[in-house]
Amino acid sequence: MAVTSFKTSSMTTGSKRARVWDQFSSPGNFESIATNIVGAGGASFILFSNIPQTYNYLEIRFSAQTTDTANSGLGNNRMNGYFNGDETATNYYSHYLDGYGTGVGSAAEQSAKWAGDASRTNSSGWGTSIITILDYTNTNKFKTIRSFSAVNTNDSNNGLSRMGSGLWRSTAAITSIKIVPESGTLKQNSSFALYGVI
Amino acid sequence: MPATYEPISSTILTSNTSSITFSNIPQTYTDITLVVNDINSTGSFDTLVRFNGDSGSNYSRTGLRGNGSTASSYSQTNLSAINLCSDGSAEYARPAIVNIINYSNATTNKTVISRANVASQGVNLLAQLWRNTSAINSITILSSSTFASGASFSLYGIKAA
Repeated sequence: MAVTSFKTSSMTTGSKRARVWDQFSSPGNFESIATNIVGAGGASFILFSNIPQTYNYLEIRFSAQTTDTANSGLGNNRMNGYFNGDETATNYYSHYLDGYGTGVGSAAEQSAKWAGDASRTNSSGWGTSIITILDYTNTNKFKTIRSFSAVNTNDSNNGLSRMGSGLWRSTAAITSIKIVPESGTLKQNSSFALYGVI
Repeated sequence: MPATYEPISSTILTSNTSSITFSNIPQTYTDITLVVNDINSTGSFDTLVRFNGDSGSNYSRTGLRGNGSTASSYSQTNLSAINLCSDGSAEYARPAIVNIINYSNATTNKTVISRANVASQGVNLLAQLWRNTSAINSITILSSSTFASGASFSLYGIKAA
């Protein structure tokens, strides 16, 4: 039977028709690629591999706590991020701007510490970060990263609001991302989600 | 492929209102994002957020703020709500994006990343905490004054694989 008429209303309204489309969602624009949730026993790192090359940029969202006991119960634990197995710190650069309650701070360093902030062990709050990796498939430019991080422990001296940027000095398309705490290991229930955006 | 980033609910005020509530939030997402674009007819006011109707002293925040000439930070503990922003202008709306990661898990306290700005006054990046391991099933947004007609509030769900 040939299709003789096709209207938006035929997809969204009518008692005889199941609602097929909400007229808003555009499946495929923001897609979940993979999720890693740390199980019992913890994890020393998180790895996203075989990343599809079909998106424009990537977004990582995580909530994490580590076993780091330095200043236990308070404060943040920075996360290293490595692309395509490159763990040479001098191939990366990171900047950040912090508010930590009693003051502000900023720094730059030749390191891979662009990958957000977890919290230290027994902190009341878990570290949360949203990280954007732009043009990750482009083979004509170095890779740039933007991040927002939050750690709050109901303590006036050890919370953290951080905005950060990162650089990977490689023109290779990103096919894998490894995230490693600066110290300690990731605790159970730490969760990391990778999304692709068109 | 099913949508990953979905609208849950949205409202635009048609009259002055002191608070709005998103209730019965589906527990099927991984994260939720609240987008607020509020305005008040009288200028500066606080926009507060509470989860599951909790008005106890179970919230805290650490903020980073820039006002065009100075960067500063502030921290408050044992609050009765998350305060998104105290900057205000009777002339400009105040957009805020509130990201609640792992809102439906019943294991950890809830950490929130927010950005809130007023064009004429400043930008804020906030780290906030609700010290409760309950899954979030309702969000109430309150004004220390009133939200004016035209203020908008939208809730989105993000579902990880």
